Amino acid sequence: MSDEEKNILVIDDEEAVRRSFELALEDTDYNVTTVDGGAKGVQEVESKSYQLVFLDLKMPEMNGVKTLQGIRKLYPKLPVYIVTAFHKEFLTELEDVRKEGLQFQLLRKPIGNVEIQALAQSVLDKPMSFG
Amino acid sequence: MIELSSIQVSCYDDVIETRNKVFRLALDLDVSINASTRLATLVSEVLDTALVEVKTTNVKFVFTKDRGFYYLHIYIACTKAIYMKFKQVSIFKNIKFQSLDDQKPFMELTLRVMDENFIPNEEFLQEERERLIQQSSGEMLQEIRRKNLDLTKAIEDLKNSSQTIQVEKMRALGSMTAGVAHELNNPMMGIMNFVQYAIKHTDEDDRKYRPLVDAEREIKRCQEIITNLLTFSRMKAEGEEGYAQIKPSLLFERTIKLQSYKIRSVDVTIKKHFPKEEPNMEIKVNNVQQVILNLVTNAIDAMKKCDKRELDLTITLDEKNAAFKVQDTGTGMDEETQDKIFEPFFTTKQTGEGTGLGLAVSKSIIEQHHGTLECQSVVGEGTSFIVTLPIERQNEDDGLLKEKD
Repeated sequence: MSDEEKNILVIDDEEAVRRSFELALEDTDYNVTTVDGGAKGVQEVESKSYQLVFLDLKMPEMNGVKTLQGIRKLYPKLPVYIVTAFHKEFLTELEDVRKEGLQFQLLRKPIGNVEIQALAQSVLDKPMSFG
Repeated sequence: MIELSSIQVSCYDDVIETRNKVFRLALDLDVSINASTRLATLVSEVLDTALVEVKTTNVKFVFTKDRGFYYLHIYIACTKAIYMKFKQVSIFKNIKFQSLDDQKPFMELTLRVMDENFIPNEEFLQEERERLIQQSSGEMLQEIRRKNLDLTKAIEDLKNSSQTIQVEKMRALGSMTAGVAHELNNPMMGIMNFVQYAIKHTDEDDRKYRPLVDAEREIKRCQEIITNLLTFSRMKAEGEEGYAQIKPSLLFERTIKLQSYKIRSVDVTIKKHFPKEEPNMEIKVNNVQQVILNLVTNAIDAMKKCDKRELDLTITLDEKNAAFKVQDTGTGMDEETQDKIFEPFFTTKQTGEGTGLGLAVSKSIIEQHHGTLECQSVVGEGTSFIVTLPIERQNEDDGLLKEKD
């Protein structure tokens, strides 16, 4: 598994955030793809094998919750980190999603270079399998 | 009061005839012609009202005299209901209703005319003056009482509405703050990562390296402010997570450890009053720790320029709550300042020393726990802050519902 390519997808409508992930992961062996919307994100997950997704919660048109539901239909166990500043309204929505049994992790915005790298490593550099 | 004479008439008697009877009777009693005429006129008015409006039967007239006045008491047999009706339509105010066991119920109406032959002496005038004063001061007193009631109510209304305004103000400020903080979050994350990237690719002996590190530190400071703002506007930073068990005194002990440098440098004497045995309480430890730290820091800051620098940290427990008291011997605050301390962005500290968010955030955290944060302060003596928190974790949903009201 560790010899295979590792792909990370960043779904965020904010360019600053997408660039942050790209720069933080630049020197790693991971391939980073970024898209600026939920629909594009789901398409991307469908077209290629990803091992980790960073997902924004507050996006126009297709928001994070809807995107997560879309991704989960394809891959129930693909690690998805929802990056958010913890807005109460969204948290309530997320609670509902959790009740549906969908898996996700929360990541508190803002996060820095070192944290992004460390997190990616902790998720990707261990043996795992996705259903 | 001397009873002089009386006559009895019935409603079937002619009003004019009755009037004349009263007129003659008055003349017989040495009442002047003018006064007698006036009395007779008043009597016909009373009878008109009594007979036409109230349809009563028995009427008795009694004359009495008391020094300078003649009184004509008119007793009209009637029921309470008729009396009430009469009182409503009558121009006469001096009416009483009586219902005695051995008599038929009746109303008594008293008319008064001056005895023109009476030469008032000083004693009479004095009494009359006092009577008038009493009467008018009684009316004044009533007026004052009424005005006082109005005023009390107006003050109460004002208090309520100013409370409402305050609540609305905080709500508006809260949502504005949240909006701004939330919008700033993404660009801040960008800037931080761009700077961190630049640092990573800059040699330490490069002259750009230090400024970049400085920039990163300042960005982190901005982020801390944003995080505080978001906490203040009740975006629960940790959601349902973050609750943990802790002994109350540990919150104080950790704070003392964290602030040990400051405590030494300001030279503050700390007195601890902790219970020997204490239960675990379930709270968002990090958040409450932040509140206690904030209160202790404020207390130390308040004593910086004082001769006496004592910090009393007290924990009191009852069945349901734990109370944390932070008492300093600092400068204290006047009432005007006390009114504002929980408002966001209010600070008495120099620019750069405080954001004015500490107590607003603290209050918001304590309220999330269904607790209270109170302040007592005397200028020149010092200030106490008391945090009261439930020992058992309270249902989060209750708090959310209340917030929406």
